[in-house]
Amino acid sequence: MAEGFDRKRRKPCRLCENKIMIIDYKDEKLLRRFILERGKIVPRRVTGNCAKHQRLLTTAIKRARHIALLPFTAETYR
Amino acid sequence: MRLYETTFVTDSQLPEIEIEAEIKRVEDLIKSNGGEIVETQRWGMRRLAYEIEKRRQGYYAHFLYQALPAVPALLDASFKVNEKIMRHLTVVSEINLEERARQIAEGIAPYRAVLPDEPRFGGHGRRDRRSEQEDN
Repeated sequence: MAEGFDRKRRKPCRLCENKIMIIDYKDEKLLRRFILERGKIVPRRVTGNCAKHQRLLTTAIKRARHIALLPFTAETYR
Repeated sequence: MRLYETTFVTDSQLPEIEIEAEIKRVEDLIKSNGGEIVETQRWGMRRLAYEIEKRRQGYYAHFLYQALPAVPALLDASFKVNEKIMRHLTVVSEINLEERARQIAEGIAPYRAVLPDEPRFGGHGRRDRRSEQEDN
């Protein structure tokens, strides 16, 4: 990221920067950015999200999972 | 009256007439209980993120409506006993109707959050590397 390897520098909350006030469970494209390939929710320490936005995100992701818009986990295959 | 959103997912194998009947049934239930439908969206056939009842696809319908709190409770109860409905979700909507009307009038697609494009988070964290190893 722009801050390079400066460990002390706190990552900015992307959602605050872009003034996103509502996180909708239907907004699959946005939510997908905050889950890993395996379907896990990316932790705050990785994304740099603020507590408020992380909370809104997890709620939205969990709602989306319930109606199968997002996976709970990656599909097992083979 | 409160603004609610309800989404349901039906069996993808249902004939279209039956899906329409389900949609109508929901709309009628809302209206007959004094609710007011703002919009019904048919998202149509979508791939499910995971298998449900041996199905990989489902038909999604989404309702935005104003109603008294008893109405979503009624809907949920009716979905629970309805085997055609695989999944359903009702939430108190955070959509601001006035803003939404303005967006529609201005021709902007109703609310979608936009973030600048950046790569998705990969499995770079310590924890995630560990969980990837567990896969192998």
